[in-house]
Amino acid sequence: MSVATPPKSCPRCNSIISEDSPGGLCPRCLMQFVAMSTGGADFPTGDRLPPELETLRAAFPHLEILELIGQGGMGVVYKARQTKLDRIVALKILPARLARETLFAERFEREGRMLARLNHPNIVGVYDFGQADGLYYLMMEYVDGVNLRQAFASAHFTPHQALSVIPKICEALQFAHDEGVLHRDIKPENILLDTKGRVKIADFGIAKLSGPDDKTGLTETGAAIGTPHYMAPEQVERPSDVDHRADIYSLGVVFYEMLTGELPLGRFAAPSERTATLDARIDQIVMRSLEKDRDRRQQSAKEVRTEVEYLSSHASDKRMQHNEAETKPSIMDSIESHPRYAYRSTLAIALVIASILLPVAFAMNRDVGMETIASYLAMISLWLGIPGTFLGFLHLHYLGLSGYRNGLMTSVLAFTFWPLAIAICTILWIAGSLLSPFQQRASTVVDLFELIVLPVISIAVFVFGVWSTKKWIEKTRPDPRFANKAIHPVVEVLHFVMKAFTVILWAMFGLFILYMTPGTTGIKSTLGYDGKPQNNLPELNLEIVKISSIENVLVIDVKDSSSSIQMETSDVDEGAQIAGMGGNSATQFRIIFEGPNLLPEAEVLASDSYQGKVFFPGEPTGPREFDLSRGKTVTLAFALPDAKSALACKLRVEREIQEGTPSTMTVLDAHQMHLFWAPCKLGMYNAYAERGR
Amino acid sequence: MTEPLARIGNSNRRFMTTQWTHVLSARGESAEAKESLKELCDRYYSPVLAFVNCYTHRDQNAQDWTQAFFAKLLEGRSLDTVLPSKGKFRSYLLGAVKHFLSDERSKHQAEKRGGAVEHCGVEDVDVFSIRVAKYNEKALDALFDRQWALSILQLSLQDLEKELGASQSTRFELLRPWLSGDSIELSHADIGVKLGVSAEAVKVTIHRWRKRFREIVKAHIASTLADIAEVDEELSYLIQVLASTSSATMYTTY
Repeated sequence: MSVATPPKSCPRCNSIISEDSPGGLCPRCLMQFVAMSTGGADFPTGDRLPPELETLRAAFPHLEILELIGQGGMGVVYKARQTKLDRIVALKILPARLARETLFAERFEREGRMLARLNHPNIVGVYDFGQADGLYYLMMEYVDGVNLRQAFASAHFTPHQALSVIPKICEALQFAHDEGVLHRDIKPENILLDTKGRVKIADFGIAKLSGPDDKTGLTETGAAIGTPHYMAPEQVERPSDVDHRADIYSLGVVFYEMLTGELPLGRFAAPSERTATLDARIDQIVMRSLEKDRDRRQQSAKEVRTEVEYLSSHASDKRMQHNEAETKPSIMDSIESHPRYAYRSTLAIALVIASILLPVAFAMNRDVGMETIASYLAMISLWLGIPGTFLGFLHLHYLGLSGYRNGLMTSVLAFTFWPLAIAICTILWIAGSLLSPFQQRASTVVDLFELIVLPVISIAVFVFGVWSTKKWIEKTRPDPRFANKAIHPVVEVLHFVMKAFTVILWAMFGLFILYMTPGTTGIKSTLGYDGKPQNNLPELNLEIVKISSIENVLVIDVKDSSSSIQMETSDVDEGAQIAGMGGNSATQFRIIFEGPNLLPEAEVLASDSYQGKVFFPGEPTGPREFDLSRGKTVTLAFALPDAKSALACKLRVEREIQEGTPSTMTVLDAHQMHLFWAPCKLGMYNAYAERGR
Repeated sequence: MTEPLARIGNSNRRFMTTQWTHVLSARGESAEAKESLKELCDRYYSPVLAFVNCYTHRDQNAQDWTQAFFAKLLEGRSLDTVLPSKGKFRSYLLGAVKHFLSDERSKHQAEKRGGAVEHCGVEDVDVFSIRVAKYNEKALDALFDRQWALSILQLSLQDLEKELGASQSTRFELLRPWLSGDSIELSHADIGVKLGVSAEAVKVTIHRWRKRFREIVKAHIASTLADIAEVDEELSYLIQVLASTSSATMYTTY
């Protein structure tokens, strides 16, 4: 019987030798020494026994074999020192039975090369492999630490620790999978934790190498390899048809074990049912990875990693963050963990900013007044700002759900900004119109950009918005990140309202654009009053029937459609009477083409009232009086100096009254229309641009 | 102590069927099986006692409980539930003792509620003192396994000592530390001087004893397994158990 010895520590492993130790010896060292054979006939388990130390020393003269550190079905592992490099390595000797298999050498060669390629901080590196004195060996990086199984046993493994280990395993797995290497035997014994807390996966692909002893020796023949409880169902049933998702299953088993301390056998409970302190959102990740059907698992290790990292960095449940200071997730965290929504929010914000900057830039370039800027803003903000706001609102809200707590407030701000801005612009616009009575509806700015580019962008944005929303909804169900977060009903209603609002707005503006494009679409535009005349003047309804272009000449057909009162260029009496001016006066129309950069000839050709060059085709000789009477169509043609000036030109109609002497003319009213939308046939621009050079 | 065990290392074939396989194949019915089971139970008394001790929070009656458990086990009926494929005597014994203790507890609770339930031969034991408020199953299992590993080493050491006989007891006492590896303090020559033999002779003796000790340990392990191919696996498991737990930490937890 043993002699009772006072507590002392083992000189070899430094562990405390308790009183009940057999023979007063360190039980750990004793048992380990039993496992480490130095020769002699041993228990008849044949091949499974490690080779004799003498044999090893002979086979590896350049190595100093230090100790046996592990033993299992896949061979034995020794700690050894490479004397030349003075480097500690792990030497794995594969079971001798393998060497007897036919074709093993070839397979070993092939696999060994592949394993040596796996160079990753979370994978135990393979330095060398080969055969020495009939022993197949792998020389690997030595990891000073414990495996996960030992970690389970020695310390209480918290879910938080599990959450920090899993992503690293995933990283390594993803790397190997990308290289086309499957592990096939993920289990706690193969996951090592070194003293610095690094995680390393050992024995990559070894399972395949030292597969079961089937007749041909080739695992490709379809024998199941792996460790039963950690094997994916398909790995057992159809071993020949195994892909990287089998590793994901095994990882799921390890994950489950880490969280609950048990294996997921039979009809197993969700981890949070087993361990009360767990965040229920972990369940979805674990249960998904343990799906029998591999199509329903996470499709890549990276996916698992993202999910777990998301949870660990945004555990709303404080219990998840055991020892860490309680930190409120910042919006940057949210954005980093949620690139998809962050990207869309950014796009939305860009749209909103563009909707402010673009009109301002346009307006500045054209040297126009405040009221024009306001109208630009109103217009473009409707096109860009509304969908931008809409998207921004949605995605900021989703970001908010994902852990950024101020997300909702921010999205409300984003949501209210543009409706407010639009309202303000509309008020400015109306005020501007009221202040200058001649700026009527016809002054609404429509140009080429708005006509072509904006609809395209808007439609694209709309499609994108619908698509991303749809994607989001699809993603919502299996995505554990939003699992426990219900969307607030108010948000849902707003979502719908914003959508409907956007669609209606776009439809309205589409119609408006059509309406504002005379001639080409059959819908006519008028220059002048369309309803009740102001200032008791007779109704004026000059209709622009058609706008076309011949090279650099803009051709506009104008028709007088005034219904009630006859309009003549020299309709002296009636006009004057109606205008209440009485006496010997005559009303005249003047059609003025205004623009900032007209050609030099324009000045020569212009009369005192015509600022543009007005001529009729075939008679380009100068300004002419023309007869514009009711029902009659007059064709006006203007030569434009360049495309840019065309964009800023206005067609203006003034009604004048001649009082007393013919030299005194009083302007009764004026109507103007911007013409940039008119030369929408790009041919004109192009032709002119070429001529200009 | 056990004749068959002493021969294990020498004659491999005969022990391809282990004691535990005997028990399993006969479902504890045959006389041989009963003998084997009794022997096994004798050997692994201490892990069970340690487990009961912890489970009952060092109840003063832990010994009685353990006795009662073994008595019940040897009656035999409980083996019906063991599947031969299930393998290890260690796992079986742990499962059985857990089952036994929880059974007793529910009986005790039933009695507290007023139901008079027969006590199955342990009437003399104070059932009321069993308190299992909170226990961590995993840690208890680890404790049991650790104790198990210690028992195996203890038994093996005893067997080796017995085999060597009384004449070698002084040598054994002196050379025993070498069983767990080369001594750091003393060299072969130092020992040789003490024993009055050459360093070479000491080396040879140690080598022989180590070899024999290894065989005995493996034989002990094998005797608790249904499949002896698992010996190495079990051995490395026990190494892990010993490496990851130290008795000091185990006891302070409870």
